[in-house]
Amino acid sequence: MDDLLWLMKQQSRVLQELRLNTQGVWQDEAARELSSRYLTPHEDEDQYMLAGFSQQYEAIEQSKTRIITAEEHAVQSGNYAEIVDEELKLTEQELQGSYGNYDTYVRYHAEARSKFPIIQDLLDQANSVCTD
Amino acid sequence: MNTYDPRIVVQSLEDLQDEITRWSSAASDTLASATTSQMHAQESVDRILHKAAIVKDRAENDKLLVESSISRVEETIERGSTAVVTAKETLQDAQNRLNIASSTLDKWQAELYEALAWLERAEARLAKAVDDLERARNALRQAEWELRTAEARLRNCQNDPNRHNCSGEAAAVNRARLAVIQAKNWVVVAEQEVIAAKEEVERAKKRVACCRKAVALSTEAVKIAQESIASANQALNFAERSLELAHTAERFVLSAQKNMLLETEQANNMLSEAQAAQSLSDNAANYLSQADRAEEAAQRYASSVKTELDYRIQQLRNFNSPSILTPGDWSLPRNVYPSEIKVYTRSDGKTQIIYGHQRDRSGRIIGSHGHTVLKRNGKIDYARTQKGSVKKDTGD
Repeated sequence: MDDLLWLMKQQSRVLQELRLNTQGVWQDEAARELSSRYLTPHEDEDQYMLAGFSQQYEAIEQSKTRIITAEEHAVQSGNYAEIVDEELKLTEQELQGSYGNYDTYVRYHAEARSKFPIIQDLLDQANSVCTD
Repeated sequence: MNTYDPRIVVQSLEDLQDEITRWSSAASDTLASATTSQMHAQESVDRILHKAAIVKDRAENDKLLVESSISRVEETIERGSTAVVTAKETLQDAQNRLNIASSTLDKWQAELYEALAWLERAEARLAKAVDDLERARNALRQAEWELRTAEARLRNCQNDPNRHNCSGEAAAVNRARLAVIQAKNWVVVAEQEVIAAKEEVERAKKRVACCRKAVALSTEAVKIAQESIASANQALNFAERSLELAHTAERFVLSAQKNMLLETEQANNMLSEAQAAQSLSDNAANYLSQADRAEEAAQRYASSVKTELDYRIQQLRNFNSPSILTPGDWSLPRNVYPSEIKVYTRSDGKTQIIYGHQRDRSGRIIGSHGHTVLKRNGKIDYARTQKGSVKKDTGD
């Protein structure tokens, strides 16, 4: 696009130069009429066209730059996402470990407390066995 | 009024026409390329917007996951902390119960030692009582024998006619009877002591048995209390381990939260950049549209120019061609050369061609010359030769 636009500008420039040259060999009323009715409006529209293409080209280039920047942000976001994913996995792993230990705690704790009434009963028996 | 060499003008106009043709082609190519570029740019923008939406969605999903994990981690820490406190209380409770059980065991062991000592004393008393009873019984048997002997002696004395005084034997019998009574009393006392001693032995044995039972029960209570402490210790260890892992999970999830915020920031930046790219692409589309309209207008002018040039060139060629004037109709000067022909458009729109054989320094044709006037449709309006003759072109 850049090369083609450059060629287009060159083509326009060559055309205008040729037009100037032609004026050197043809300057009568017909030439002036041709200029005023066609060539000058053509040049104006040509310039509008070139300006439009140039602005479009610039806008697209800027858009491309923004897209490249967006891609860079995407890569960085992806990198952070991978870290988050890994850290969440580690979190889950530690949580599962914590749950496992908690379950074991519950089992041992219940076991410990389940012996309390037995101890109390044995002590009650011990303290009453000689009172009969 | 200037005069021009038709051949040079034709060449210039043909060059101009060619250049306009090239311009036209280049403009079309450029427009096509720009349209393609615009299409590709929009496709790129669409892709990046789609990708940005995915990245943003992932970031938002990660945010939800992190928040969920934080909530679970907080609950787990809370539960783990409570578990540690409860486990410590249970351990303390178990230790208290062990202390009570140990004290009870100590007490019953002391009671057992006392009971055993009592039993030993009671058995010693019984042994002594049994021994005493045996001695009392031996003494009774001895006293009874001595009584029977004294009574036999008294009867012998009384039956002996030679004896008139048996008082000595009678006194001996009385003493023997008293001794028997005393011996019997001793036996009774000794028997009572044996019974009492036996009863004490039984009581002591019973005490020993119950103390042994109490010691056994207390020992079992101590053993179970120790098991309870072991379990409580294990419970505390696992509760502390559970809490420790929950805190480790907390460190990971807080780091994940920090990275999730960075991920979200980058996703937002990406979305902003993609939206900016979309805006720029929209602008580019507007510029392309503007260029397209200008190109279309310019092409129209170019087409008109080419048509007009075609006409001008044809006119010049017609004029410069021998076929313009049919032989017999015209007597052209023999010394007419292309460099001596001048073409121009008059104010009435007709084309006038002047030809001669001589120019001045300014290029103006001088001396004998002729001229031809062409109408807009290319037909000869009239012509005048160097000789001054004039003829209308009938178009035939």
